[in-house]
Amino acid sequence: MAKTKNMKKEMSRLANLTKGFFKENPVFVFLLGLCPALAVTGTVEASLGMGLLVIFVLTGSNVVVSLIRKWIPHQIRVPSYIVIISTFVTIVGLLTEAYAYALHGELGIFIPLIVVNCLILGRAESYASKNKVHDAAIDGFGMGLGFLGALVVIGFFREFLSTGAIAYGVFLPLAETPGSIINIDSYVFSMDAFGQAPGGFLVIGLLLGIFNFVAILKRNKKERERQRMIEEKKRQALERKRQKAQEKAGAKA
Amino acid sequence: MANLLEKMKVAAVLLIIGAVSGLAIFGTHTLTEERREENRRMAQLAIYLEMFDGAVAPDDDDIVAIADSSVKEMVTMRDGSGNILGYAFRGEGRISHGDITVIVGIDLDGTIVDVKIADSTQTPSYVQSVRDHYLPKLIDQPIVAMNYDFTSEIAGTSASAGMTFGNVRRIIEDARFIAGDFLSDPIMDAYESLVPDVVSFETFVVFDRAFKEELLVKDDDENTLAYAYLMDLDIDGETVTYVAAYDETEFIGITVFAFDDVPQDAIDAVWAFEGYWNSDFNGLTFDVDGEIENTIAAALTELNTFVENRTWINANTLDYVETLYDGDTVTGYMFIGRSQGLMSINVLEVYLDETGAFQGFTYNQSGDSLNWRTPLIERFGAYEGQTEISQSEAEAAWDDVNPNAPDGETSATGTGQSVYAVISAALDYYSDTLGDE
Repeated sequence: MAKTKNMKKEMSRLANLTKGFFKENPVFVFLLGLCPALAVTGTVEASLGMGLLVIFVLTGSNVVVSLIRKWIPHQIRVPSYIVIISTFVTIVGLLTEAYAYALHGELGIFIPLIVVNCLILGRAESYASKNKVHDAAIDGFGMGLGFLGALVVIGFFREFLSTGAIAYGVFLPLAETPGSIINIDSYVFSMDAFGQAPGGFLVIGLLLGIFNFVAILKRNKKERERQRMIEEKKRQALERKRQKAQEKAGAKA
Repeated sequence: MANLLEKMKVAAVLLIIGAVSGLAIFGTHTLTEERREENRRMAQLAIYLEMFDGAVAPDDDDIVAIADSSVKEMVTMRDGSGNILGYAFRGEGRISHGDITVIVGIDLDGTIVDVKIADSTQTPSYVQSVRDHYLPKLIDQPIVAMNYDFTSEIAGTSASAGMTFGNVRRIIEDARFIAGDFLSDPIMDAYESLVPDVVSFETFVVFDRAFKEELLVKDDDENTLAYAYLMDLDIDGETVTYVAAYDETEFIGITVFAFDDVPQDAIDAVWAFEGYWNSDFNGLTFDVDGEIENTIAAALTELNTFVENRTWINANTLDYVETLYDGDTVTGYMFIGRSQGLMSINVLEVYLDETGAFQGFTYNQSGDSLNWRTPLIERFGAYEGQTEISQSEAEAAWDDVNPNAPDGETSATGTGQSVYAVISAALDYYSDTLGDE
């Protein structure tokens, strides 16, 4: 009995961690954090950098909000969350400037602007302030991973379409000398517009379309499955009814 | 009582959260300060080295801190043998959009090698516009005659970056001034040969005549000692910059920026004018022999005529008025005035006819948006022939630039007010002074 309970708990934690990946993806499902998703996803590395910073801030702020949730008076909860989030953002800004200077230069004003990323305040208000510390931490980390994943996917398409390459070691200390994991020397993949704001809109729009299309397919499949199960139950019930009627008739005879 | 306790609890919670946040930020700031500073230094060093081919990292002795200027640091760049290649100037600016760090490289010929934005917290799209559209136009310009005319050709979103470029320009101007001191030959040497106590010089008015720029030559206390005029003349296919200086009453003299590539006879030609030095400029004519000398004399005569016909006002936003002649007949007046616009000080040329009637105006220098200032020329042009322009007429001129703006306020208001300040001052000056003469 206790083993089953523990397993259920583990399963629920795993679901909590992974819900942000697809089902409740902040960018593609809730359309949260679109400002950085448009502004800094010109390259995979910048997207990765922004995603990592958001994971740090989101997990940190969720943990602190959850820790002190019972002490914060209701009427000042939002200003308190903002102070906590902005503290983490300031710290992450200083750390980036110290340990990933190129990334700091690339992201620029968008690091301080993490403060106004509605994903972070949203998770603090809707989840961390109502749940235990470890659950809040898992939620923050999972949602952050989902955000990072979305940014990296957008960044991949944008960088590839605008340069024909996926570079590494330019903004993040991933290698001693910058290089590229893909490099197709073709004019087809030199569509500068994808590296700029219009390209951001286009790629996000297309990915949102794909995401929604897949979600609709899944929903339809689920619906069909549900209908099938209902039909099956109906059939079984009918079968039982028929059997009972036959038994009744046999008994009478 | 319970209410008070509740409020105290709220205050205490906020205080604790604020204090802990402050401590966390202070701790991180302190722990990372050295590394962040080192990163900034390394990034700047990379730019310094990129600007000057063959340069090596500068010694501490080659880095000089500068006080009381937007330029904070001057770095002497040398090659591996210790020969000076040029100077890099690191400047910092701040506007409401944020901060900016700019590095200006100037070589020994007094030419802008490169201008780079090293760091910025200003609006990224504006900074990028400045990088893409403004900075490339500065490269290879001689610091003695910087030309910012290209700013008026930049339109659209990039023109909105004018305020950011204003920051960059200020740093370039300061670097240019400091470089003038260090590159004693040939720039400061030229000024010093004319006005020995010169410490700084700044662009005052630009012209499209034989002389293209009027500069104020200043002493250590920022007092104007003289007015210098740059003349770019074609001497044997080479453009040579001559500089003539005047004070309130005299032609002080003429010299040349003697860069390495300037032909010796172009330099020697200025000696033909030695006899005219420190002469009353009224009625002054230049009678010299030789082809180069006559080329210089023609430009100098045009300049001298301008100086003769110019009357200093130095009041009510007006700098001076030039009386325009056709032969001996007065045909009108050109006023130079300046007033604070929305983004920068607008320097205007205002034209009146001989009866004091308004003829029109042009922008001599302006950092305000083209979208606001250009239509004002036409709007105020509607008042051509008037000897007075009322406040309501002026407001109509700039309100009309953007009639869709709320509450009658338009983007052109700041620019329009500065334009009107100069125009009305010119009209008043005519009615109070010139009209009585």
